[in-house]
Amino acid sequence: MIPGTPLDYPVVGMTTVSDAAQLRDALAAGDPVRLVGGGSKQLQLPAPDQPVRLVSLAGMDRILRLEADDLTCSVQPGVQRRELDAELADRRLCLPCRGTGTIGGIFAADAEGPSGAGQPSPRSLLLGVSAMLTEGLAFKSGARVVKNVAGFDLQKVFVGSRGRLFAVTELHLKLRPIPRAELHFANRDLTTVAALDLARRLRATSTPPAWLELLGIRDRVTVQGTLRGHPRHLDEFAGRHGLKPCEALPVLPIVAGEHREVVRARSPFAAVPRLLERVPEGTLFSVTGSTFTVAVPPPIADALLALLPELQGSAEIVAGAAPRRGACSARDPHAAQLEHALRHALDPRGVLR
Amino acid sequence: MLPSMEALFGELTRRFGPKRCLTQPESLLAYECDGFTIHRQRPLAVVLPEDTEEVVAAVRLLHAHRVAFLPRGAGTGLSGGATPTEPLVILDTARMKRVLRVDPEERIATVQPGVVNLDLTRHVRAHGLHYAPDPSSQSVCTIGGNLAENSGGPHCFKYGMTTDHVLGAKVVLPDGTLVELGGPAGARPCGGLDLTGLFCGSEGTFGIATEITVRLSPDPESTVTLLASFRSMRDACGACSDIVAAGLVPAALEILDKATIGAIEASVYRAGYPADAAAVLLVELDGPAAATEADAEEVLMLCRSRDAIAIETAHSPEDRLRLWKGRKGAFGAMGRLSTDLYVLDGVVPRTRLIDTLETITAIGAKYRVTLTNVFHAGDGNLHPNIAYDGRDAEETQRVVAAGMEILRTCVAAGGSITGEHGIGSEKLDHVALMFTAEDLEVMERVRSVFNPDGRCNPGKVLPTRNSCAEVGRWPEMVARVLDPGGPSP
Ligand SMILES: Cc1cc2nc3c(=O)[nH]c(=O)nc-3n(C[C@H](O)[C@H](O)[C@H](O)COP(=O)(O)OP(=O)(O)OC[C@H]3O[C@@H](n4cnc5c(N)ncnc54)[C@H](O)[C@@H]3O)c2cc1C
Repeated sequence: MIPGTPLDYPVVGMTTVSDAAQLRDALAAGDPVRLVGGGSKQLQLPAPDQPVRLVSLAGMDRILRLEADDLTCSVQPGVQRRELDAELADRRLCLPCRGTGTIGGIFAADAEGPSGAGQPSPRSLLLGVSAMLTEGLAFKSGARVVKNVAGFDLQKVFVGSRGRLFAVTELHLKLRPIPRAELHFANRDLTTVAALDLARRLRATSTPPAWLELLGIRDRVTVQGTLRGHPRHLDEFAGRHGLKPCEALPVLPIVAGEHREVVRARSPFAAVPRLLERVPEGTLFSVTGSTFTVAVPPPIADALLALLPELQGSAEIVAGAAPRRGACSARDPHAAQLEHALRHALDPRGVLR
Repeated sequence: MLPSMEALFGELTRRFGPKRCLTQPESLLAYECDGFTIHRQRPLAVVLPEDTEEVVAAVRLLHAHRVAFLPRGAGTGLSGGATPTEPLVILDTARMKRVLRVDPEERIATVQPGVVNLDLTRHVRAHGLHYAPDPSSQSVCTIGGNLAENSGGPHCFKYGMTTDHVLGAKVVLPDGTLVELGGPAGARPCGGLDLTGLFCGSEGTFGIATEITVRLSPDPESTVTLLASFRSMRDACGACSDIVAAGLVPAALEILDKATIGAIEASVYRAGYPADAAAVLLVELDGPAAATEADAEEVLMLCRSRDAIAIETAHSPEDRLRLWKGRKGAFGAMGRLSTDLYVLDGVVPRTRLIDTLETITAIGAKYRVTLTNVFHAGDGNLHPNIAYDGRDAEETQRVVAAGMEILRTCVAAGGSITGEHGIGSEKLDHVALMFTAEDLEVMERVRSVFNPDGRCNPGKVLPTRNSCAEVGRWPEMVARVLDPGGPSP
């Protein structure tokens, strides 16, 4: 699905739909289906447990409504993030969460979680959805307005559901004005202790960075991020905390390789030193918000999955060989049962894989 | 009393003692309704557990006896969420008031559900932290009630609703199973589903939360509050829109109309709001001092360009408190207008505020009801309040009919029937204005996952199970409410 990167699980065909009627037809057969947007995140998601037909929503790619004065818009799931961003930028607005690919994919995968201490989770930006169950039943939840508590919030459980519950055909989004000013910073080559200390200090302020990342290997860590707000404040804040402004933030993707799989863990920030203890010398890691990401050999990945519940968190293998992807920390068995029951209630034939 | 009930009450009394298992009619009186007083029904009994284990024990007993129950916090809900709709037992969290854990570095706290919203903020104040969602009832309402209603408040324009601040909860399901949703690291575990987000706002129909982990927010470096008064509601709404259009994100944007100002100024909540104003706009800006000062200048300019009659700016906590006093006491002040108050909770896109308010005024005149408006203008969340005498059945009927028409107007404008108070039992008939039978069928499936026997807070949020027939009849039910004199089906 990513040009030049074949999928590593068996696929028996693909249907691209461009409206709800086509989607209903595509789901009617009841054979195992994997819902995809543009497909760019497939190698970060668990592989299906049997051959599937891909049903792509990339053809549903219209921006349906953009009410700049109300700070809301409605889009189909296949709208590309960069296209929406361009439309919003023209009106000095933004969708204040990270993520690339299709809008449906960003919310369905919710790969990144909150981007910094105290930042809202992406689900707070999803006001409502129109959606379809695999049996063809079209429904909606939430609303188009910025505030609403009518009915149960199925749009919230859609975020991070990875196409396991239902197909979303419209997303109603909450927008924000473009920040008045933005300042990137990167303080490089810090010892682990110094990096953690700086990050802790920044997190403890009343206006923590909108994006804050620790990136590097042990004792060669970059603390980088983005400050947003009033221009007068940003310079003063950067000066007070000794932050080094930079043009753009370095991106060092953490990828799987031979005998290395990517583990993503969510834990309280205080647990980061303990996580680092488990990681071999010279391993690239990243910490953003409450998310810790690292590429490690399978035995260490397993050890991290086992450790996280002790640290009041959880972890998952998000890249690596298909049979291992999606392995995650044990969680409350009753919560797991509820998840299973919810999937069964919404997709009784088990079509979505 | 049925013999099986007698056995149940015997067991409950043995477990909780007579002081924590109330069955005497006089002690049940206070539980016959919440802040929505049109519906009333006394429960069979009230149990007051003190911790998770006791909630599990009580719920298991109720489940074994097939008796319905509902969780109750402070009973300030405004949609009948904590009011029985059938004979049942209330589990009151009034004795679950402990703050279990505060982690100032992670900025999280774990509390029992009966902790009062404002008490949590008081508890963490020394760390320079607070709990951001601030319903106007915050000095009384509980975190458990807030979670169940997904409550908002004046500051949710910038800081979001309760759901944005809840990381996890221990929940006792209706069969007594204890389940842990989310946790300190986030509402959704890696690889799992966001059941925390789904639970939030489920209005006590999915189970009872016994421990709740919430995010705490840092106190802002500085706060400035402005009160601008205007000659017309149109100008006040216009100024509010101008502020948002300028790219400012105030912490709060609230509007009060002339009738509300009059009621406040004649009450103990008197705040010195200008008597000649048709509306006042309360704007709160918070953040780094340099930014709030600059933003306050801009707000001043925008209000002046809408011909504000007067603008007061408050910097000190005392002055700010005074400006807020009237807004926070508005509902209390309106209590003076009549014996009962029906607080509506419609939402419209902010750009539709003024048109909707004009329609609401016309609806008030049509049904001859006393209407006042105080609302979260930034979010387009209207609270038309109707003062009435609940002892007068004919007046009550007009009040309900006016409410229905107002909410219909909100939905027609692209909005919602409730922004923060929930459906409860109050808006069961209004649900059809917003949701189709298919929407409700899916929600019913979700409820059945948590609450398969329907014994946890029955008769709330969705109509009862023979729904398909019922849902199909909703338009008729709506018509009946709108036209009480019309033919019955
Ligand atoms: C004067 C006044 C002002 C108000 N202002 C606001 C406002 O600004 N914003 C706003 O959103 N609301 C407001 N409200 C409404 C009300 O205060 C909120 O809905 C509040 O969250 C209810 O909390 P409570 O503890 O009183 O809950 P209750 O009224 O006791 O219960 C509310 C619902 O929560 C359920 N519940 C309670 N505890 C639990 C639990 N532990 N587990 C599961 N379910 C539970 C109940 O079953 C019920 O359905 C106001 C009310 C009043 C009277």
